[in-house]
Amino acid sequence: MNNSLKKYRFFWPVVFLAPFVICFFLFNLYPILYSFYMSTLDWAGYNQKVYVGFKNFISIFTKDKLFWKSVLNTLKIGLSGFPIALVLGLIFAALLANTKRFKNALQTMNFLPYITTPVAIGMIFTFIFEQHIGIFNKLIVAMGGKAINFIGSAKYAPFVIAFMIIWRNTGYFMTMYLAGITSISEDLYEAAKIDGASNLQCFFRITIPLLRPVTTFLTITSLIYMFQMFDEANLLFTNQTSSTVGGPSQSCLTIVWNFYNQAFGSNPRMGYASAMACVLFVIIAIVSVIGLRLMNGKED
Amino acid sequence: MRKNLFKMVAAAVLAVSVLAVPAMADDPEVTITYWGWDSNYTWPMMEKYHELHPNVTFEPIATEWGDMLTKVQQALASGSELPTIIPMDRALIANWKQFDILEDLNEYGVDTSVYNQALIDAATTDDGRLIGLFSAACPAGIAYKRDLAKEYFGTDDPEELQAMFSTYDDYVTHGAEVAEASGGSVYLFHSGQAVAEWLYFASDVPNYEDGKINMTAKMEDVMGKLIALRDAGAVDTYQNGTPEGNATYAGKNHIFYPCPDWAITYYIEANDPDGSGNWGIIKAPVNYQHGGTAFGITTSATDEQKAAAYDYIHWCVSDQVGAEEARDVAGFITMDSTIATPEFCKRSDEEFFGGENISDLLYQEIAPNTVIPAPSAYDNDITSVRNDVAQQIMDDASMDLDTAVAAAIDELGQLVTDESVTIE
Repeated sequence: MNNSLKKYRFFWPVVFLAPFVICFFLFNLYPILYSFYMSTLDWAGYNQKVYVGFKNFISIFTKDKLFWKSVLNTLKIGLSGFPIALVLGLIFAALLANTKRFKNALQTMNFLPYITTPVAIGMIFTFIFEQHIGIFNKLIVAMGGKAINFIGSAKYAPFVIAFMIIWRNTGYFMTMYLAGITSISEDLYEAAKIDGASNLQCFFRITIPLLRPVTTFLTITSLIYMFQMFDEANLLFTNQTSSTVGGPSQSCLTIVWNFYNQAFGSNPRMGYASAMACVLFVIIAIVSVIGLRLMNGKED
Repeated sequence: MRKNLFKMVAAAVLAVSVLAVPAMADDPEVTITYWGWDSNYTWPMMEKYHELHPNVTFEPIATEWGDMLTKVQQALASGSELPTIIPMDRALIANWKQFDILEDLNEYGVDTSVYNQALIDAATTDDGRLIGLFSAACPAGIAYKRDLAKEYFGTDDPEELQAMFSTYDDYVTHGAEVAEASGGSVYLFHSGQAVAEWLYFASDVPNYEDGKINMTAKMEDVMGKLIALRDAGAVDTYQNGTPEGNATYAGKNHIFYPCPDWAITYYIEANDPDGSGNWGIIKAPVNYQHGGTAFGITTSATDEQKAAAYDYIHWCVSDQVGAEEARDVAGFITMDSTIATPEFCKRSDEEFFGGENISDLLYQEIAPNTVIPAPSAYDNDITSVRNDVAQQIMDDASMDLDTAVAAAIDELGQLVTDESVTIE
């Protein structure tokens, strides 16, 4: 192999790939591996590290009721919110795709919640669902009902967060679906119309099946987002004087909030929290693989 | 004559500045870094100190009260630089002791005999190291709205009201009367969490003793009284500290608010600016303190920084000018008994309280007669559980004491995972 060929086969690929590979090793792989190492330690983050083997993992699987409660809470909140947001996003996208006037304005309006900061969202939802002055309760009272303590009650609080997820993500899902719809050939719809298909039939038989890659992407990313949920729940129940860990009866304690509290609470357990993060990593990996398999399987 | 006088004064000023300049020039330039909350207090204090000591510059970084411990933990875990001065909330002081990152102020020659002994004890580790100086004692009473007191109790006079509300049972009895008279629209208190907070700080049951968290005894003491008040219809269901809850200060439906001295500025006057003259304060059935921040110096600071930081902290608490500044900018009364005379403690906002002598009440009657239970590393977890259970009690009118205590123990058991600690 002559020198110039060598240059093209080895030198330049290495030069171009090196920045990414170095950054990946430094900022992704090393922290991941270090967190696996930390999961075998009894360490508060500032004191002497003590190696404990798999003790932290054994505790998580055999003793830690709160971890599994936080897993169930996360699933409950996520599965109440994301599927509805996905369906609404799809419906709005289908409606907007055929809209001629104010399309851009409507699109922007729907997308705005997605770019609103979580802190502001937390405040907005506190105001909406507050028992005494919240708009939602004012409506209930105006219709003859009794005001409900949505945020202070373990029964309702998880659904307030689910509603928050729907409100925030519908616009984003809609935008993604809209992008997918524009890539579907008009010929397909025209051919279907000639064969006598109604708009609804076109939607179910053409639009939805051809949007499957978008749906797969959104479902997998939503599942990952769901397991990493923190801001929405934490901001709703954190203020200077009446903060609680996990909201009413810990009903809104998500996996990451629980991890955060273990790692950075008043009595930190960095090693134990790292073990939690590892378990979360495995859960997300398994769920993502299963999700991909199921969706790609159907496609096959 | 006037010209001569002017010349003499000018000569004196010149002489002083000639003498002073070299002295100031000798002082090394020091930069003190600081992370913390309560900019209403710390920023003006730092500015004033800088005015008097131009060689000392402050670099404060605003950090939320709730994020303070976390931020330091993260800095320690990642090996990042710590600030020179750290503020420590009383509720977390035992957790700060565990860090072992703070200077022993005893080594700086601090005279602890002039300070509130309970607060010195709270900031002292088991091996006798003093990790911080509290900027103020925080005596607390029960604030009330005069117009509502007059309407429902027939008087707004603090002494008469004090006689009417001398025990917890009095609050239950009169709370039921107010609920009946108002048709359930007026309450003694706006929030179960606020009541639980008051009762928690007024309780003499220690949170932690000999490897055991006294959750049953503590919660029975706190939640038992809250449930009695709830059943009497004396407590509304607002969440404490929320904007909606704070808006009730200016409303006409809630009479009493548990009130540490700092809450006068930060809660009452801030949330009810038009309420001047309509407020009063009485003693709670048990004198108590609520809150307080100690300031410590990190061991990682340089010697110059440590010396300047100690001088600043000591100036805030034990220097006449510093203590006056703290009083005037934030209403913080120093815990230094040599400065905190009745004249010094005179608050400028007594007119807001209808001319009542709240200064003597808070600083002469309540402050010296409070019991402060020893802090524990689990106080923050207990506080979180307390807030939640108090909210559950208010949300579910059928929740009895046994259920509330069981819920509290269960919840705390999930938060405190240290196997060397038992929860009873």
